[in-house]
Parts: sequence; structure tokens; C-alpha cells
Amino acid sequence: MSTAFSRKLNETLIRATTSSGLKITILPKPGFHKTEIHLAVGFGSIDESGAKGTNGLPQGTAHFLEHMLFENEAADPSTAFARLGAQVNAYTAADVTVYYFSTTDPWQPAADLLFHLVLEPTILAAGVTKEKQIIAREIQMYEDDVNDLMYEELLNALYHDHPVAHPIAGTIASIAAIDEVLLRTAHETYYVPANMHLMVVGDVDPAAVIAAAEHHPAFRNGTKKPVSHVRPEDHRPAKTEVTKKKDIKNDMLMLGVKFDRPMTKTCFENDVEEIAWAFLFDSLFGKASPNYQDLIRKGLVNEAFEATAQCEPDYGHIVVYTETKKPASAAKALWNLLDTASNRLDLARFETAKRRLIGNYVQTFNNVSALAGFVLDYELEDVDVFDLIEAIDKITLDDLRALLPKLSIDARTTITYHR
Amino acid sequence: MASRLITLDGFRLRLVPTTKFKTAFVQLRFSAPFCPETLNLRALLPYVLLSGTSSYPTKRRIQDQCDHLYGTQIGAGVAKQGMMSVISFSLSVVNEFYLPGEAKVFDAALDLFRDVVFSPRLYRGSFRKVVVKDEIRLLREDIEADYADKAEFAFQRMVEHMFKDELARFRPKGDEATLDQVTPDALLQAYRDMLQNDYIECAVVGSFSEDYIVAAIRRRFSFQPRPADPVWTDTETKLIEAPASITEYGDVSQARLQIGYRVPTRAGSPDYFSMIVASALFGDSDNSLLYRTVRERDHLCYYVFSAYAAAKGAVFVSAGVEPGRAQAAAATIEAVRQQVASGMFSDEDLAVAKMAVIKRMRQATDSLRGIVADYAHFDRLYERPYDLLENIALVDAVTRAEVQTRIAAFVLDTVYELTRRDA
Repeated sequence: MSTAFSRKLNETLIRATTSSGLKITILPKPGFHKTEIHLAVGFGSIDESGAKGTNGLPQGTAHFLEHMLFENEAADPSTAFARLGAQVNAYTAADVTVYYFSTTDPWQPAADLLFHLVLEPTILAAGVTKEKQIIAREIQMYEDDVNDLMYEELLNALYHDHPVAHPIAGTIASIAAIDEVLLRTAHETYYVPANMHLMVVGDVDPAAVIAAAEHHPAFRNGTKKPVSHVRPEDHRPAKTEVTKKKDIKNDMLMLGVKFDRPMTKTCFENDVEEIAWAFLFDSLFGKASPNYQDLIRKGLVNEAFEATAQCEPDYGHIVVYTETKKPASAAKALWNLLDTASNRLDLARFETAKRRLIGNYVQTFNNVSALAGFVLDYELEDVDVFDLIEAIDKITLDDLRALLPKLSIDARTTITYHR
Repeated sequence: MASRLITLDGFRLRLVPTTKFKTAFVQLRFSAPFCPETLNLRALLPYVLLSGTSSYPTKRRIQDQCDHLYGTQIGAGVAKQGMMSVISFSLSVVNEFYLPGEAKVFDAALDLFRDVVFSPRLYRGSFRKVVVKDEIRLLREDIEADYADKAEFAFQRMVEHMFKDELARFRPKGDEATLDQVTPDALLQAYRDMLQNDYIECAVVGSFSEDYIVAAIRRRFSFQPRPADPVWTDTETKLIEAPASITEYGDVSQARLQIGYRVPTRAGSPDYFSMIVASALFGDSDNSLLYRTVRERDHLCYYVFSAYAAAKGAVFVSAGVEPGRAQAAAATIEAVRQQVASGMFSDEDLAVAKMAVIKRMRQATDSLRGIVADYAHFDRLYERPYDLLENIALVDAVTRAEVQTRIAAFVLDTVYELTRRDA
């Protein structure tokens, strides 16, 4: 067991690894009623390589497994958890599947139930058949979700064959190939303590949490963490423009710029780079910048505007999103700003943006549920969130300038429209 | 949490000292009778005020100052509560304890907050035309963006049908069709009315000494006394001869079903606690009978839940259904309601519904906004201040018979379906 303390935040992170290899992180929040527990499995849609890949898992396997684990009891899990005073849910992302609950009652009965459901499933052919229909309908349902769909379309246009561009739930065709044998194998491979992480936030006794995970029979020894595959792509996007017709009143525009990833960077360095990008965007078109005010005045963007960067070991891109009534002019203006970014870095603004970010990190520590997901994301990468917050001060304007060559946007850009 | 309600010049201040959070939270609320004539003005006003003060003349300058004050957040919005239109301004500031040594932010943040409310930037005695024009566009596009969310759109359509002749049909957010008619001068008049005539409440939650906060608030906020008779529940209703059934068509892959019931119990009623337990048991919790029956047993929908609009006296059921199956789902939902009314639920169901309600009450105390909302609810509607343990005891005391009575009193008003043409 190890303890990290942040003087800046007056918060403590307690970390331990059980004898079965499960990593545990606890953030005690004395005085809070709610306890939030996340159990993360290092298995997501980027681990599915499809027909061309090495592990032969069809697109949508991780998501399908998540569904199956919550179908394996006579009682529906959400009602079973409700009877213990807990609210449960789960999600599958590109690199992780997370099962989580919150409660204001004693956490252990619900934690024991969670460990059992996630690690000791009974996957039967009949259940798989039934779930296939449910997921197929869920895939159709996504079509009403224009915002999520748009991001998926952008990734699809940016990447040629990288699994990050695959829809997390798969397609109706890809899930047809999934059966109970495949799911059991995937579970045996990925759902092993060494590939899992338990995150607990709340007014808990850390020793009791560690003991509960150490002694629960569901966590068995011995299996190694599966190797994850790295699949770099060159910087050219698969498509440069995609337009979809939708029943909406404001057009939507999403501009993506793809990076080459230097494979040598650590997760910590990638996270620092994401923060540096946020500072660059702040100078370029943040809500306190003259350019944003100008875009608003010209009626090109509205307050749905946002810009983010994602820097991962084997892929990375920036996304600029807005709703607009003038999609062509808005795209041109944003393109132009990105293209002339080198002239627009502002030292005074950069220092102010640092202050805001530090304040925002402090505020995050008010909210038990938000914290569990926020800290877990860093823990999964072995990044200490306290160290990351300390690193903000050390980011310089030169670090921002070093990002600029990645914005040679003509050859790397994709634009998607919903209109 | 030892809390106090203090009467100051023209308003009441609710103070909740706590060391649980890393930020202090201040909310200032202005309430006036809700009416269609001022709907757009009051929807737009907070955003125009957030667009420039005499010291920080643009949105950009306000944002820059907020950022300088370590991510201080100033927000505003408008809501309908009972018969009132409530404009609220809120301020969230990081405690100086968590900031580098020299940082003094609370007083500066409170000054900026005061300026937003009391010292707007004016040009030739009115709001600037260009600012009003920009804010009208942004608000209109924000309202239009809701159209992309089909569940939200279906809910709005049900509300418009169900409350056709009542104030509740209006969206406090603004009316798209008439928003363009707002002028700077009309906005200025609405602003002056707000300062002179509205019922005013202030709340502060955080780690502070009471004397310091009371002095800080008193120094900045002062209002003339005004007659106040706010009405926090909406008692408009209608005679229902037969439920209305409406089907509309749109570009959706999933049909959206919305059912509206009238209920006689409103916030502030002695039956309020049995009503929230009944609502949790019916459709507003993970173990609800609607979820277990309509989704898990009959597989008629992807999601189903109900929500109790306590100020209005209504319960809304929302469901996502495969096109063509909405009528079957609607019939099952009503059958479930009748079962609950006739007592067809277990003691365990009732106990689990109470647990869900108590969980919600407890976790509200983990959030600054939750605390402010809970105190406001009791300060407005009850003779006693908010008290978590007393409320939990009232939930625990709810009986089966009370739950049956509450559910039996639902009156089906409107069944609305948004679906595809080819379904």
C-alpha cells in the first residue's frame, strides 16, 4: 500500500495491488454521503482487430460482453443493486470497459455483487441470441443521436484501418459473428485481475476496501495481462470531407486534424501534450480570445463551440466542433485560424488560462462521481493526477510552439457536416 | 451543518457553512409572476447582463477576469417555479486555501458578480443593440439545438398539448417564434422591474465565518423593501373528459412515447413525501415497476421512466419504443399504474423505493447546488427549515396505503407519440 498526498489539493490517493494482481486506488472523501466504485477492465473496442487483425475478435465484442455480464442472473442487475441501495451502470469505451455503482448505504454488499457479476458470469448460447437482437436495436437507435454519430463519422473519415474509428457497439453484420465460445474466451483473456483496476471514492476505510478485494473469491491468481497492439497510421486522412443530411435546425460542423504519433512518448507526456493543446486552443479561439468574439459577431459559431486534442500512444487528433448557420464560411474561418496559429500565441492569456485550469482541477475534487471517472482515467495509464497538476506550471509558451508543426493542416484535415 | 436564515435589506440570506467543498457558492434569485409578456425578456436578460459590465465591458473581458480569478464561474438562467419566473445568478469560487500563497480571489469574484447584476454596460442609456442581437441569435440557436434531441422534442410537444391553456405550456427558456421582437429598451425596462419589484433570495454555501459573509453580502447587495407574495406552486388545471391521444411523425429510428398524468399532490403538501415514494416505486427509480414490467418483462421499450413535477402537480412518463409498439407500451404503463393503485406491489418494492428516495436526499448534500436547492425548497414551502434526518424519517414513515392513494389519484391527461411514417 502506498499513499500520495497533494498539498495543493489537500487530497490523498491510496494505492495497492492485491495478490491476484488487481490494482486498487482509493480517494477518501470524509463527510460525503455518496461512495462511488468503478471496476475497470482493460478491454475496449481498440482491442478488437476484426478480420484483418491478430486476435480475431469481431467489432463490438467488448460491448457485447459488457451486455452479457449484466444479463447473467435471474434478477436484472439494476434491480439487484437497487435492493442494496445502489445505482449501477456500465459503459464500453475505446480502451476500457467500466462497471460502476454509487450508494449512500454501506458499500461492501454492492461491491461483492459487482465483483461476482463481472468476474463469474455464466455465458449461455440462449442469452447470446437474445442479446444479439437487443444490441442490433441499440445500434439502430444510435442513429437518433446526432452528436455521437458525428464524432464517429469524423473518426471514420480520419482513420483508414485503426480500430479507434470502429463503432464501439460494432455493426449488425460484425456482431452476427459473435457466439458464446468467443465471448467466454474474450472474458478469460481480458477479465483477469492483472488487467483490471478498482477505483473507490467516498468516505470509506481504505483498509476495508483492500481487504474486500483481496478476499473476494472472484479474483483468481495467475493470468497475465494481455498484450495490447499498437497500430500506427500515417497522417493522411481516409476521406477529406463527409456530409450527412439530418433532421436538425442548426447545421453541425466538425473539423479534425490527424497527427503522426511518436511512439516513444509516455502516457504522462501525452497527457501533458493534451493540456498544452488546450492552452494553444485557448489563445487561438478560447472564449476569452478576440478571435472567438469575432466568430460570434460574424454569426459563424455559437456557444456549442469546442476544441479538444486527443493524444494516445498510437493515434491522435484534434477536433474542432461547432453548430452554425453558415457552415462553409465557418469551416473556412476555423481552417484559417488553425493555419495561422503561430501568430496568435498570447503570453498574458496563456498565464491566465493556467490559473483557470488549476481552479478547474480544484473544483473537480468537489464531486464524488465525477472524480471517480476522472482519476480512474489517469490511474489506468499509471499517471499520477497530482503530478500532472504540478506539471501545468512547467508548461511554457515554447511547448505550445512545438505543437505548431502538427497543424500543417492541408494534408491532414477532414471536415464532416450534418446539415 | 448549522445553517441560518438572515433577513437583510429587501431580501433573505440563507447561509450554509460547511468545510466539505473546495469552493464557495453564491446564488442570487429574482422571482416575478410568470407571464407570457415577459417570457422572452426574462429569458434573454441574464445573458445580456453576462455580456458586459461597466468595468468589464465585453463577454471576453468578463471571461478573462473569471479565468484570472482561478476559474471562477458566473452563470445565470431562468426557470418556471410554480407561478413564478425565477432568474438566478450563481457564482462559484475556489477557496483561497487551495490557491498559491498570495491569491485573494473571493472578494474580487464577489465584486465581479455584483457588477454583472447591478452595473451592466449601457450605451446611451440602454443595452447595446449589437449585444442584444448577438444574444437573441445565440439563444435562438440554443433553443433550436434542442430539436436535435428527439426525446426532449417529444417531451416539449406533450407539454404544449397537455397544458394548452395554462402557463405551464411555455418554455421558460424562450419562445423561438417571437424572440426576435425583443428590443434593448424593453429589456432595460424588464431589468429595472426585476431590481425594483422581484422577490429576492440569496444563498451562500461554503467554508467561511458568518460575520465575514454577512458583511460582504450586505456591503454589495441592498434592495428597497417590496411587497412579496410569491406563489411557488402552480394550481392551474382543467377538467378532463377523456385523455387526449396525439401522434406526430418525424425522422426518428426510435419512437418516443410521452404520457402526462395530473396529480393533486404538490410540493409543500403534507402528502409530498408519500408522493415522492409513490413516484419512485412507479417509474422513478432503478427498481421501478414500470422498468421491471414494461422493459424487463414485456420488452416493450428501450428505456422507460417517470418524473414527478412537484410544483405543477403532474407525473410524466417517457419511453423509447420500437416504432409501431407505442400503443402497446402505453396500455401496459397504464395497467402498471392501476396495479400499484390496487396494492399489487411487495413490501420489499416499497422498501427499495424508499431507499432510492433516501439515497437521492443524502447525495444532494454532497453537491453545492443540491444543498441550495433543498434549502430553497423548504424556505419557500414549509414552516420549518430543511432537515435531512427529519425528511428521512418522513420517508420511512410512508405506508402502503398512502402510496396506493397517491397513485390512484393520477388522472391520465395526454398520450403523445413521435414516430416514423412507415411504422
